[in-house]
Amino acid sequence: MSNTETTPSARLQEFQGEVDAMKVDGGKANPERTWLILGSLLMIAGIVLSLVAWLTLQGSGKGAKTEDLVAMGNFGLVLAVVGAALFIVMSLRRYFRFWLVRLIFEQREAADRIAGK
Amino acid sequence: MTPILELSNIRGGYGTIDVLHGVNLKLEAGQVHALLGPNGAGKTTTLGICSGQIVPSGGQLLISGREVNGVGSDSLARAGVCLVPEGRGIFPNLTVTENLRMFTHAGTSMSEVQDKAFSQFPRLKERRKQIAGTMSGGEQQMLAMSRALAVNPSLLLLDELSMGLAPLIVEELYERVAELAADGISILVVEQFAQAVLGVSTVASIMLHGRITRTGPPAEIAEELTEAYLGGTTH
Repeated sequence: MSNTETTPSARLQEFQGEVDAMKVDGGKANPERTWLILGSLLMIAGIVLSLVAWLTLQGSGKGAKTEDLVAMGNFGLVLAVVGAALFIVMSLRRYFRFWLVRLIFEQREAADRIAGK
Repeated sequence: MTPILELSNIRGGYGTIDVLHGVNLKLEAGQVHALLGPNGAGKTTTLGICSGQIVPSGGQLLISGREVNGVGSDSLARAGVCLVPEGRGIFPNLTVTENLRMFTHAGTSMSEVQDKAFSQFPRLKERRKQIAGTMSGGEQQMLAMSRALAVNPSLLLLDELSMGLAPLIVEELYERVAELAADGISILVVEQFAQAVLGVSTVASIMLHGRITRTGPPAEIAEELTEAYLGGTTH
């Protein structure tokens, strides 16, 4: 049943044309790792930003700069929270995936035991 | 001629868990390639990679000679890659007619879809107003196969066509598969139960623990299957 024709059929040529026109970006097999790293960096950046703002505020008197430092500190807090949320969500996804795989294996073992294998 | 589908040292799985550990497979245009193996070997994951649902973590997925790692499954489906998944892949809460209407996404008219489906599977015409989920397993599989007929694919991926079906129904379905192959459609069919598919395939492979351990003519593979499943193959 193998195709011994040297000339591809019209449908096959159309298929090849559509495949050639596809945009290929490589994709990511494990996008969670990228988000985990991003979340960690955001957390650190946010904490550092807030710390810098707080320490600078301690050392300065009242002035126009105060509001800027407060805004910077708040922004740092937001970054830290967003980063922490990302990190936690991606970590939980990994944890639950491993948990689910273990559950599947245990269920299969149990089924095999019941079937007498 | 360039293979219509080629997996070159493919690794992949689910997140950080790799299920495939270097899969090499070639499907020539017009061939029926049977991928056999026990439960948990990685056959469905292989089809997931071929259909674009899973991005490989390593290796190359080539379609018509072009590397398409990371291309979305919708793009591949529009181009002509059709996956009939394990468990039928129909809409169980819709009627047969409504399911057929869902198959017109490839541009085929509803009347043409119905003609193809009802001529190949007259039983579907009798049950066209029935909710798909209430039909028997065999009838649901016929409905799932109708999608393969309707979208006129170039590459057809079939996952466990025989699962839960009576031998007579399986035989009928694989006769349809042989007709599709005769029309020039290239088919990769995954099966746990080899006898059903070896009669219509041109080449067969055995997959164990995420690797293809043997590829060859169906008659040779049939002789080695039992040994392979029980761990006697060292190829």
